[in-house]
Amino acid sequence: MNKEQYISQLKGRMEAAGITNVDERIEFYDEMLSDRIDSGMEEEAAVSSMEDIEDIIENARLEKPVTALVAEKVIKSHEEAKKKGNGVLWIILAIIGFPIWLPIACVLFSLLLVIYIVLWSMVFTIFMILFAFAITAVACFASFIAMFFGIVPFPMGLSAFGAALFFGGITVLLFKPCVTLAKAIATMIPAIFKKIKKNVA
Amino acid sequence: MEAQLRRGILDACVLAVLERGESYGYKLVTDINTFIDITESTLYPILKRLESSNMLTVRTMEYNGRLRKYYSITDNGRNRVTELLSEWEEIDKVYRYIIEERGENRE
Repeated sequence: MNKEQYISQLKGRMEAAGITNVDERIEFYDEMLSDRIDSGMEEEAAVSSMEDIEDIIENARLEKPVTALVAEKVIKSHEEAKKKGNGVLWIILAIIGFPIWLPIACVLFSLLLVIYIVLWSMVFTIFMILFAFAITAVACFASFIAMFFGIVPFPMGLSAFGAALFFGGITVLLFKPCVTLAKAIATMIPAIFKKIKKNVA
Repeated sequence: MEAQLRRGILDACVLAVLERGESYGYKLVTDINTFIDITESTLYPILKRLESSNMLTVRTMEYNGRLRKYYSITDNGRNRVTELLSEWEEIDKVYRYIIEERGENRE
């Protein structure tokens, strides 16, 4: 660990532990480290010779008056008890409210499933439309070819060729927008469900 | 060592070192460490306490392109050392009494 990392870790721990005068303390420890380095120590050796960060935090906490420490402890245990109490309350409520929340949960789950299926169906439908245009174009072109073998009459074969060009053109024109739209929906689906999950949590 | 006694001794150590002349944090730690173990996290509150009770003064000076704090003892600080030494004489008397008592009881 280098000097910068040590100081930054120490600062972070002090702030997290609610120690007072963090900036002044950091100045003090920074000076101590710089003096070690200036006295000829390598930076890493200087950092290793410093006190353990957790010991510094512990000693800084002990500087507080006993009354403040006791008050802190009481508040902490009170909060823990409150949290524990809330947990039990939630379990009781969940058991008692079972006939109400289960149908609601089922409905919500079904709704989410329907949304999921509908969105993926949209992607599927887009490709199916594109496929339908393409297959129609191929079929019309096949009719046009069949005209040369006398299977299809000449006017019908010619109109089939026109239709093949039309549907082929539509397929080519719609291919890129359809792929973009399908991609957009496909990426939107996980994002929507992530958002729902985040809001529920 | 009992916390209160240790605190008093460490205060006296810091002040005694400062009686020799102005000093800075790291030097104080190394000087005091020659006769009693002290860490930075122990020294910091001592310096703050002695400063707030006007037993030492602090000035910041540039050193090697950075700032360093220098601590000097005040008259209050010198008086405190004298007080602690006289208190120590009393503690020493009690200490000797306990030793003697124990010695006599064992005999």
